[in-house]
Amino acid sequence: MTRRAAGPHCPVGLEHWSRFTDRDLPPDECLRCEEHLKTCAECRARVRAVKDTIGLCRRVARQALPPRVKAKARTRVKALLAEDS
Amino acid sequence: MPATRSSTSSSDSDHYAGLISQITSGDGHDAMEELLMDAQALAYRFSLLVCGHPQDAEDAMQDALLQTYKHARRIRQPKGFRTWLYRTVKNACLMSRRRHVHEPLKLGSLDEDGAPDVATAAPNPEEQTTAAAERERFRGAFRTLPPPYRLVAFLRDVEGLSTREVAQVVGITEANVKQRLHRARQMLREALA
Repeated sequence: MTRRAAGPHCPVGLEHWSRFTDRDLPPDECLRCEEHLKTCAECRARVRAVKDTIGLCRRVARQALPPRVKAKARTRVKALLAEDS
Repeated sequence: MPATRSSTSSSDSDHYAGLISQITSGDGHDAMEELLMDAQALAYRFSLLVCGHPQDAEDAMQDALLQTYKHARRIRQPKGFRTWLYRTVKNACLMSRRRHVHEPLKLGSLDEDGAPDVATAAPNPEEQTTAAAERERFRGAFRTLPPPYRLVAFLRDVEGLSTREVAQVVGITEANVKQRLHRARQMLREALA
């Protein structure tokens, strides 16, 4: 994407778009941002950057336990529950 | 809750509330088993991503297991269980780190415990290698975040807690959570670039 200078109406900065992505802006500000995104490729890229980072966190970091770790965890649970019964 | 589920904050809370209800109703062996596995999986993720010390994970998992087991049968407010669990795991991981603080650091591959779980395995070896490389790259970038930012990013973006829940777990204001979160995302983005 060709980078261009932020326009006078660009709410620049990842923090702003981070809040937008989290729906953490007042409704009128959200609407203003949505309108702005229709015409500003630079800001669309900023929003995409925030969403990509969050998506990566969810996709990559929340993987299943490795099989050996999971097996040990299951053994501990079974032992604890057997003790109690 | 399977560790791979990318769920919303409310559905995770409902999931835990459902398990707790089954346990407190007296017919919850399977629910207890699931809850204890969830607690350990969370302690494992927390140890690796937030503390950055895989060798602490065993202790943290054990602590999380025992404390969850004791707490789950006497809880009165199932809705509050989720934040309790995250606070408990956070404390268990920090205690485990203190116990091991003088041990040499072993920062091996976090996938060294074996092949990926069958349910999440990529269809072929090449894709598995790519996925493992992506995870390592992500973890490397995540570890570059200063601890207070790492903690907030973990709770909010990895685990999907709400801003309010993160504030309760960490013990800071919601405004502070937002501030740290935005900065953490920015730093993570830069580290991954």
